[in-house]
Amino acid sequence: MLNWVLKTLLHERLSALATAGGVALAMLLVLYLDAVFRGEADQVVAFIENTPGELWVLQSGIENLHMTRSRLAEQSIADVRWAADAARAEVLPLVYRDALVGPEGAHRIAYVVGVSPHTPVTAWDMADGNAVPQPGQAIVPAAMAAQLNLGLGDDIRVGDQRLQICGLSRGTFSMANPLLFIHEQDARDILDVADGANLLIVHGADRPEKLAAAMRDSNDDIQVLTREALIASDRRIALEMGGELIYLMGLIGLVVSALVVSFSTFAFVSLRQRELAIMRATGATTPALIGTVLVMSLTLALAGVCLAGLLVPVSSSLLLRFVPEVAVHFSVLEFVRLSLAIVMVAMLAAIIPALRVVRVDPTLVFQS
Amino acid sequence: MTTVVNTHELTRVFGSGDTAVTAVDQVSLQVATGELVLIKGPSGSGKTTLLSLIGGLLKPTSGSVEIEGRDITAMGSRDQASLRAHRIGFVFQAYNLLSALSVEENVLFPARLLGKITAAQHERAAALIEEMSLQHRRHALPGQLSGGEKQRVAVARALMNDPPLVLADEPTGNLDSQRGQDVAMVLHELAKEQGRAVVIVTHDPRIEEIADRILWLEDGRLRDRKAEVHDWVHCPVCAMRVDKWTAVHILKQGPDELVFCSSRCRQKYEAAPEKYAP
Repeated sequence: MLNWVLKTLLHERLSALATAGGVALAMLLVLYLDAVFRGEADQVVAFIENTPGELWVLQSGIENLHMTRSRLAEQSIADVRWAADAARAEVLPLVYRDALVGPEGAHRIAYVVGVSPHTPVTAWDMADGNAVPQPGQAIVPAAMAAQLNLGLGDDIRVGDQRLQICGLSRGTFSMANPLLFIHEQDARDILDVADGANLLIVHGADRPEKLAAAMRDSNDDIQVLTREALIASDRRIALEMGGELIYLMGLIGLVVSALVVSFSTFAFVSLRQRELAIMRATGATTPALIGTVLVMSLTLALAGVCLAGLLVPVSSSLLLRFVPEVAVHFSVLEFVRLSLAIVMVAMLAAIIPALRVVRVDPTLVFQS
Repeated sequence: MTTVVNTHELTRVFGSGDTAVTAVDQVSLQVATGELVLIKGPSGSGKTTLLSLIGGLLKPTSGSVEIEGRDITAMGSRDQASLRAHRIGFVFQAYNLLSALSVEENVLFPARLLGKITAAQHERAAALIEEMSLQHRRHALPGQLSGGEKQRVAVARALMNDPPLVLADEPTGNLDSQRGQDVAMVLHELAKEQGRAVVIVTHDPRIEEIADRILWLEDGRLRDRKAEVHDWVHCPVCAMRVDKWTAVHILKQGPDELVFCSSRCRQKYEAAPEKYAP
């Protein structure tokens, strides 16, 4: 029976391919949405991942860099320094906040990082230009510059000041979280942080957890997070932003797949009533006939899964070529999870065709 | 000779109430090994229904069918399917080959229903293909075969599991004279040389020559008739020529018998017999 199913699908390869294509497209829809949000989440945490520092100190009650504004008072900074000194750790105050950026008349929100020539905090992968901005200069994500039709030497407005682009960075752009690096003093002026800092980065501690506890004990107005905790928190908030949409699209993808597989299997069974009647007449049992429908449904679904597996790398490389500013990160786990869901849905989708195959009249074989 | 098919007062009624149609009416029939039995009759006489009942494809309304002494009407559908796979081979007018499978795969198909194909089954399929002179078409798909070739593939498929009973429905119906003759001879060999019981439903007069028995089925009832024996009379109502041997509408009137061509003519006569007095 399996032989018949496979041979028949091969014989009707165009309709089989169309069905597999439908399943693959439904899968791609879900996978791309997930990949875009994952890519976005990766970009959101890229700054934390590429900046040295075991502990990140923020204003009390704030657990994210993304979508928040932290502000630390002088006393909080002093308390953190005192605790860090005791542990022989280094403290880097950072000016980091969202601001409107862009050429005249085209403003968009970006996160602005103040860069001091004495700290290692700056863009980590340069496409072109200088990685350390001087006063009046800015490092802009290359993808964003391309979108805004700007290049090295062009002016860009950051807040209420006009700065000159001195560098183009890679890996710093996302739709929700583009990063601009400007001189620390410019950042203090533009972001209105005359003294204090938005956050502190602590590194060089032998026992970060112990130091974090000491910092928390020293001041109630601060939030101390390990780098891993801050990354997890920012990644979670980035994914939660699209969580419901991903869930909804996943559901739509599964329903579309189920409909495609069910319709194709049903059409297949309907068009082959006579062949199924021949099988019944020659001795095939009802469970065996139901088995053929399940195998067919499963085969079409697996073909769709395989096709999606082939289309993901091809389509994503094309996407990166033509829309480089979109960060996509496909998850193997998500692909496996979705594939299993599609297979289960395909089994459920086989119920209606199976009911039809049960009712196949074997005396059809006598019709000429 | 042992009895392969034994039906006892087999009846099949379609529908119910006023619309009920008795397609097969109390048919009792025995077919033994090595016997080739022909069932003839006009269209709609119930021939195909009778074949379906013998093959276990339809359940009778009453009566029984025994294949090699086993009552298939008392079997569950799984046992019936198993019996069909092991003990009955079907040959159809429309060939009914599986279009995506090659000649060899079609022939092997009934064996696949029994489990994994063994080397011996491959050898048997090859032997059957050769026997049907199809060895050069082994890998061809049904769409690439002529009608005669398709029917020979269907015969090979019917024989794959070595069944003692072969049921054939109009096996020469779609074939030209020469191809029809070839298939008829193959069926004859199945009975005479291989000792199978062969039941053929057909309109084809050529097959009468090779039949051991010819049964006439009309309005669901069966009558034995020897080949080429006729007793022509005229219907007293419409004057149409009727073979008294095969007629079922006969009215006894004293020592005489009136033979009608149809139930309609008989009803007309019964309504006003004086009108048709000789």
